[in-house]
Amino acid sequence: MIQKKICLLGSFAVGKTSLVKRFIHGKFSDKYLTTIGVKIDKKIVHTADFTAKLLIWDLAGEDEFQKVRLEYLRGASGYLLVADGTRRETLNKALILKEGAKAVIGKKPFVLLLNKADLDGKWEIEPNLVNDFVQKNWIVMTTSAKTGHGVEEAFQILTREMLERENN
Amino acid sequence: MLDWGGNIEAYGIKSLRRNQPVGQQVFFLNDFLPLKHGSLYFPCVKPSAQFSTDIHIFHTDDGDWTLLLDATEEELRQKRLQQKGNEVRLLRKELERMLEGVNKDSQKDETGTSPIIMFRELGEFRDVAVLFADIDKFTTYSETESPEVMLKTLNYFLDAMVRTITDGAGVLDKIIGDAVMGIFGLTPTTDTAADLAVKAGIKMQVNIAELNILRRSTGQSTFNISIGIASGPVAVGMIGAPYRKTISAIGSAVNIAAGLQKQACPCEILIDSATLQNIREDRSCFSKTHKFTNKHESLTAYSYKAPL
Repeated sequence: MIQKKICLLGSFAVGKTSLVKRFIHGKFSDKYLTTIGVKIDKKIVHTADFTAKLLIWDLAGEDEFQKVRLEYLRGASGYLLVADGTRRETLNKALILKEGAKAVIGKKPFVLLLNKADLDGKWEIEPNLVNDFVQKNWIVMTTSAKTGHGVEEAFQILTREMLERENN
Repeated sequence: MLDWGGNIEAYGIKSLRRNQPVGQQVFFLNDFLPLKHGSLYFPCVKPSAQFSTDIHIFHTDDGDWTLLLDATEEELRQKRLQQKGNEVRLLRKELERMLEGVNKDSQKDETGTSPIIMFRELGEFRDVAVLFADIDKFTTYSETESPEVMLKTLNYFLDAMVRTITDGAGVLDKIIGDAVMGIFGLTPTTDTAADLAVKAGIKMQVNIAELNILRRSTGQSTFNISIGIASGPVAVGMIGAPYRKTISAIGSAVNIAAGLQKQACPCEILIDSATLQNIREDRSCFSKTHKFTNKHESLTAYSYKAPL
């Protein structure tokens, strides 16, 4: 079976670990628990077109005092870039991390996730900003680890992109 | 790994075979080997929920060496520090949001998440400690400087003062020119409101002293602050127009804190007896000073003088 390493990248407390937990275990907890270093999980993704085993590297989030170690990305075929839709500054951080990722693993497929879609009353990311990304042919999705909205799809779309890239 | 051993099963590594690529047998090393030159270090890698390991990989003429060190304790230690820091930053964000009036519905959050600060929007009595801090001689300075320079300086000092309040689990009530008012005791903590306010007051004096050292070294003007703290029940609620609401406290503790601040000298903190009684930590740094009058009532104040 094809095996692919993917990483989750983003600022602290954007919900990377919660997205993985929702995707793998179908669970969610409101309690925020910071990740130190990196947690690795595995899951097999099935769709009508393909089956692949994902090695999911959930990297510690970046904050004022701790830089993300981008060396963890070595060997990754793609990544999920995660921002918190209720904290505008986490989108800027995601864009900076995207540049860092490019320096380590080159141009690889990624999906930009605007997480915490369940908190739409606190949303801080303007739709026209998202349009700019879409015009650059980026894949942008809103997700909610809390409700599960878009989570399964995000992992599937990234897997499809990685496999298509490989076949081309 | 087979020859030098160690307890490799503790790292989830079982049935290693010689002359087979290690990456295929130990999945978390797959993408890092072989190493052509130099070394790699990956702290706190958790290949399973049970353990955390530091991975060191270094290249020598004899081949690549991999060292796995148990990092479970280190991960826990870092987690404790990091968790606290990140929570404070999230709290600060939440407070900024409230002040901007963006979060006007947080009191009745339909998503079911509990807001960090809870009180009835219509108002309720809460036991709090109120802190007033004022920059000494700033008005005189403002009359001699251009508005640009004056505002830059003001924001520089206010930023340090406001951050000390929010980092100390306080809520910024308002900024009045060159003074700030903070309320302590609204966020859930294990400290008393008085403890939080006094700690924040002392920290504020330290922060301002440090800023002054920096500014003095570059020939910029320096300022001292005076602080007043009082405790007691106040009415807390959201005030303002529907789209521009801020949290506010009204009560005699607010007046007393403001009065104490006016009487405090630069670098001094004056507190009322209700605050002193509620300090659980060391009270000896406060000394009894003069009486002061609040609405015809004579009160005793206690003083702390920041070391210059």
